Amino acid sequence: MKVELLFSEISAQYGEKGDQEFLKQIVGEGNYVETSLSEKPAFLQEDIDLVFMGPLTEQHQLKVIDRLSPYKEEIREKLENGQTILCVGNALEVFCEHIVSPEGKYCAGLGFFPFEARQNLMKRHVSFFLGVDEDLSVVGFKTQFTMLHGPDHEYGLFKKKRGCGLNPESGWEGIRYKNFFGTYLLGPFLILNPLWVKKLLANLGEEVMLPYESVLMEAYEMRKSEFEDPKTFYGH
Amino acid sequence: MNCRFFIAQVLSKAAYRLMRLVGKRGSYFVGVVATKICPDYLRYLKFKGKVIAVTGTNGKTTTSNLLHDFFAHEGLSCANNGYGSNVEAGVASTFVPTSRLNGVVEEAYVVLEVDERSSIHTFKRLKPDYLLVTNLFRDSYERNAHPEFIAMILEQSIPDETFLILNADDLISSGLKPKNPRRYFSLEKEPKEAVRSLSRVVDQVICPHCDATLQAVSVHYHHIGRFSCPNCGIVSPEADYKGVYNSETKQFRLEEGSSVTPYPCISENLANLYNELAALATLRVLGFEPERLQQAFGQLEVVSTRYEEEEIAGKKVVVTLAKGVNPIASSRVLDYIQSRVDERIAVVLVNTETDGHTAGPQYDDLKSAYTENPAWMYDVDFEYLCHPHIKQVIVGGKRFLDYKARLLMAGLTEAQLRCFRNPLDCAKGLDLSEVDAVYILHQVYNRYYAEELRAQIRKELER
Repeated sequence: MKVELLFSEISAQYGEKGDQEFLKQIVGEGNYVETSLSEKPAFLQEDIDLVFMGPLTEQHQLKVIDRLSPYKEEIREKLENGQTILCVGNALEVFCEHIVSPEGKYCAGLGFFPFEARQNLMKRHVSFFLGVDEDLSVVGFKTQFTMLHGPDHEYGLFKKKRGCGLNPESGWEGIRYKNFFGTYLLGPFLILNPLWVKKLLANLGEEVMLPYESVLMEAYEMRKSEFEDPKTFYGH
Repeated sequence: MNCRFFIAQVLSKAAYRLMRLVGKRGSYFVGVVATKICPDYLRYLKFKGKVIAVTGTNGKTTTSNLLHDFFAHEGLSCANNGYGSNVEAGVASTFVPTSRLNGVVEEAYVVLEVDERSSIHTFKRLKPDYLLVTNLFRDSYERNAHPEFIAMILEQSIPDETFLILNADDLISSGLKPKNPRRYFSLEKEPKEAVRSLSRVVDQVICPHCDATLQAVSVHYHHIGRFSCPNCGIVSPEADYKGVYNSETKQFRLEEGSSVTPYPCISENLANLYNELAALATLRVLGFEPERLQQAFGQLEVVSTRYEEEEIAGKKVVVTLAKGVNPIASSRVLDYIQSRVDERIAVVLVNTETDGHTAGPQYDDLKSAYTENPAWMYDVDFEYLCHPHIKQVIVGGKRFLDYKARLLMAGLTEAQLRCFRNPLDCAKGLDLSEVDAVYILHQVYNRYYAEELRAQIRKELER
């Protein structure tokens, strides 16, 4: 199995370097490639099983959109053909229609998904999330400047049980389209959700024991119980 | 005089006197009173002297304290918010007792530590004559997001007239407000300065002008050092004040063009070398002569609420602050520990939020309800603990499993690790016969655990 860490030097905000390294440890040396901002994405040039992109600064988001725009049609074809891509944090906004600020500043995304990211740099959202992906519980934290608005019932990834979805009115967190997965959940996302990782890998034909899996599972079960407890709170 | 301001002065000064009567010293509350009644409170103050603001991610408190201590040592009147907080109301609380009713602040100097995130409010109303920016790093994700965001906040809030004193070794903060008058400081890297390990987190990787990957010329830590762009040719700014430290002679000197002046070194810890350098650069910009600074700095010290070391029955026991959600601060402490190669070390980590904002048995209810985002652990250089001289790593707190996962990822083995749900059980995991030194790392709000653990260790060693 081969993994691409897309624009890894700038897509590791909010502790997601942990997920980058987790994926490296899962696939082992020689089975991952790190693509820098100045390079054409590897998944457009060779067979890559999983593309991972983590959260970006807002300026870097614009650079990424700019870098990927020339390859828009190639990326679209890959998406339609089932390329597995996981975007964590605001990386998923790159693939949406546009990002807009309260002052009306507008930036077009790649336009694959009919969602609008409403960004407010003076209002930071902080929360924890408990949801389900079919029968599997998913946990994570949200810390972000944006709320995503669009047909969440069509594209939603995790059904919300507790916390905030794509926006305060939404019953869903994240976006799924074929094998594209986008979520705002952090923690790091994969490390906090070992069962979901195993499910993702199983979809790619990989049945693996995760590094320090027993510890991750214990932490996951403990966190799930915490999040199910109505007394639990988070934030400053 | 503005009526609201006058009322704010009267009531906040009355509140201040009341707080003093009940034994409260530094009180944020009086600043809240002042700014609630008059939101533009800071705007109506009239400063007779020079206002020097200090902001940045790390080093604000130490550096602003050094500046204040210098003025105090020299018998120069100085107001500062050393006892208050660094957000707007905290800054206001500094002036409630010191200003006249008409808002005049008589002190010759005002040194204000200003929280970088809150600068958007503070600098709207108070325009400092000088602003020292120590550095910009990633900090709390929840509050500060990332340094690009904080740089944007500062860019919007720093007044055009303010004279800037900037860190030439930080490409993020050194580029602030390019049209403002400025001076730069830089710390030269000793040829012998060990490159122990690269930092995991580098906040400025690509060129701010052309996006090419930056080349490191010399790096102290993280993104602090000298860089150049192989594509467009930009380089880190040249410093007006260059600090040079010799770890063999323990001598610190300041180079200003062709002139070289030795200064007493207050602390050889790298972060504190930068803090001293920043303070010296600021004071030189203010016009203080080198001879005067040399004399005064020989008497100053870095406040040690953050690091305490003692010898107990032949073993060194250290209690040190390592702010949990600030990955850089934690990494700096771990870097120091990894440098202590002559010691056999046990590291005790109780520096998560620990179940709430405060620690102690009286907060048990709060403890059970709070959850913490452990993502910051993945930006900390725990890999620095993978050295043969670090024999044991003990973790305590509600997030012990998250910590364990992170430490295993970093390369520690199960044999080296002991993890406890209750931080006070950490002492049970220590084998004191195997180590010469124990370093206990705590958070801002849970020093209680570190002190209790030290007491347990003392009891064990003195048995």
